[in-house]
Amino acid sequence: MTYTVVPDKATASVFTEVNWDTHIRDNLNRGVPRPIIDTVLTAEATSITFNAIPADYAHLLILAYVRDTAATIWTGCDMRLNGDSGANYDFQMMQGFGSTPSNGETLAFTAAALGLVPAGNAVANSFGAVCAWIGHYAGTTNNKSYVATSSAKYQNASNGLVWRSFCGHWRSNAAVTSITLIPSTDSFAVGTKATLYGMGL
Amino acid sequence: MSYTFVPDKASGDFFTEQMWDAHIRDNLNKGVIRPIGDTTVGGTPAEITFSSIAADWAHLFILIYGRGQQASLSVDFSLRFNGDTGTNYDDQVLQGVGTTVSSGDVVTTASPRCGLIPGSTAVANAFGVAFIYLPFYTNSTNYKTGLTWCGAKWGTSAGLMATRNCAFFWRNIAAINSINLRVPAATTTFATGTRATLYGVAG
Repeated sequence: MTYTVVPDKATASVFTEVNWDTHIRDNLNRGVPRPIIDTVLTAEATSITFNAIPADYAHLLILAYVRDTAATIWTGCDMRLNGDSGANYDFQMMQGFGSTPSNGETLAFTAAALGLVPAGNAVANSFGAVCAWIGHYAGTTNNKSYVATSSAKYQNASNGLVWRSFCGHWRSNAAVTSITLIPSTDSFAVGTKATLYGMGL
Repeated sequence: MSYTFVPDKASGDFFTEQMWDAHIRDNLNKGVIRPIGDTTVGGTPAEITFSSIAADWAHLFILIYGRGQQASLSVDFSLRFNGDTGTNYDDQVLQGVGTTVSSGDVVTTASPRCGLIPGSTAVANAFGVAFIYLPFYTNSTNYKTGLTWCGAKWGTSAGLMATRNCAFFWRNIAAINSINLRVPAATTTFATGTRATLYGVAG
């Protein structure tokens, strides 16, 4: 639903049902960017799923604050769309690690990579940031694509930080109705937070 | 216009014109992030232009889901401001393709690179995504700049995907009131199905 510009009201104007339904309800529910689902983990979890995503928006934005429990310094934060665990995802990575940039690609993988996040052997209290945009997610004509970026730190010294970004593609024309965030290994740690935003149109 | 904090109301208070104008109308129209333009390319491939952009926001976002009509695997797309077709732009690109990282700049150009999308010979149904950030687009004192973060896929074998970050610069102090998104090659455009949404970001 598109945003409807809110009109002026004069003194003594009547507040109408249209004012409520069109200018307040519809604009707030579907016309402006708004959070759809927000999750904070109070127990370790092997996934975070956003289900029943309505087709009301132009695009989707995921913002997450993530740590993993695996006994390693960092690990991946991935995504599956509509529960598809087939080898239908392709993605391209670019990162900066200390003074070393690097790059790589993965084809026909079973999940879409979003970022690299701290894990169990990282310095205490270190969480990573993940931000991902999914374009035209409700379309049913073409494959879906996204861009994502992330941060991870495992130590308070040089070569302990990574900035990593991805572009990725799902070989499906289906409208996205659910998103599942999964760690590459083990579980998401307590304190992990993920929010899905609908970007109004 | 900035967001006006919505106050508490007590039981029995009247709903006033001031409440409507300041807390509903102005907050929704100009106090939050909201879409101000949304275009999907229909049956005929086309450029995309957002014109008459109001000076109401602090910054602008553009989200593009796109594919180019040009007969190549991938194509750069570009932007121009306020209809300026002169060589008044510069860009800097950092990208990864396959296992290769590269960077480069172009100066004094009329078509600054602000993203990469699949071209018409890319694998069918492949579209790219680009997120563009234009800070303080209304200022009339300093040159304008922006950032893009994007990706494209043009095949399903090795070396056929790219992730790219772009910085672009416009040598002009004018406030931006229109944005033209285009594929620079003279006869090409965005393919059918391309969608671009412009968001105003309140300050």
